[in-house]
Amino acid sequence: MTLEQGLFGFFALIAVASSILMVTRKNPVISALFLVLNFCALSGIYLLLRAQFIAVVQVIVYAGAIMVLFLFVLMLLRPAEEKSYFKDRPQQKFLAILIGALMFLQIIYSIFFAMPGKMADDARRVEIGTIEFIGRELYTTYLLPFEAIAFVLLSATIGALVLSKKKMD
Amino acid sequence: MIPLEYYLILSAFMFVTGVTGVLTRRNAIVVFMSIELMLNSANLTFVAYSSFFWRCYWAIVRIFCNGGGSR
Repeated sequence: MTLEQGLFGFFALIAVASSILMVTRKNPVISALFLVLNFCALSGIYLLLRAQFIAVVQVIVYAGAIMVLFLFVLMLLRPAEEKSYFKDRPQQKFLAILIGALMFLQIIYSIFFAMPGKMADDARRVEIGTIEFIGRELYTTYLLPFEAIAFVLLSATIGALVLSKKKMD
Repeated sequence: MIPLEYYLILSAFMFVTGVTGVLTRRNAIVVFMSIELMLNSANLTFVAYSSFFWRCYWAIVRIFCNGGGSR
C-alpha cells in the first residue's frame, strides 16, 4: 500500500464516518462540529487530487467562515431539542433510508457505465491546481460567469437586507 | 495512483447521506447543513473530474458553487 492510498483511506474514512454521525446526532451543535470535521477531511482529499488552492479555500471559507457562522447561530438562538418525531412514525425514517439506498445504487450504476475520457498526465495535474492557472482562466475564459456570480451574490445581499428590515418594522 | 471511481463513490456516499439527512431531520438548520453536505459532495465530483481530465472547467464551476454557497 503506497502512502497515497493510505492517506486516501484515512481521509475517506473520516469523511464517511463524520457525515453519518452528522446526520444521526440529535444535538445540532454536535452535528455542526461533525460537519466541520467532514470539511477538513475533504480538504485533505482535495490535496490528494492536487487541487491545492481549493483545499485551502475549503478550510478557510467553509470550515472557517460558514460553519463558524452556523455555530454562532446555533449557540445564540439555542433551538429546542428535536422532538422525537419518529417515535410515532418509524415508517418515514425507513422510507428515507430506502430512498437513499436506491439513489446510491443508481449513482454507482451511472459511475461504472459512464464513458471514460482522456486522462491527464501528472505534471499537468499539478499545474491545474495552482492559483496562477485558476486565476488566469477565471479572469479570461470565464469572465462572464464570474460577473454573473457577482450579481447573484449582490442579489443575495439585498435579499438579506430586505428580509431583516421587514422583521424590524 | 487512486482510480477516479473511488473519489466518485465517496462523493456518492456523501450525497446520499445528505439526502437522508434532509428527509429525516426536522430542525431547519440541520436540514440546511445536510444540503451543505450535498453541495460539498458535488464539489468533490467536480474537482475529481477536473483533476483527472485536465480541464479547468470543473474547478471553475466549483469556485462558483462556493460563491453561491457562501451567500
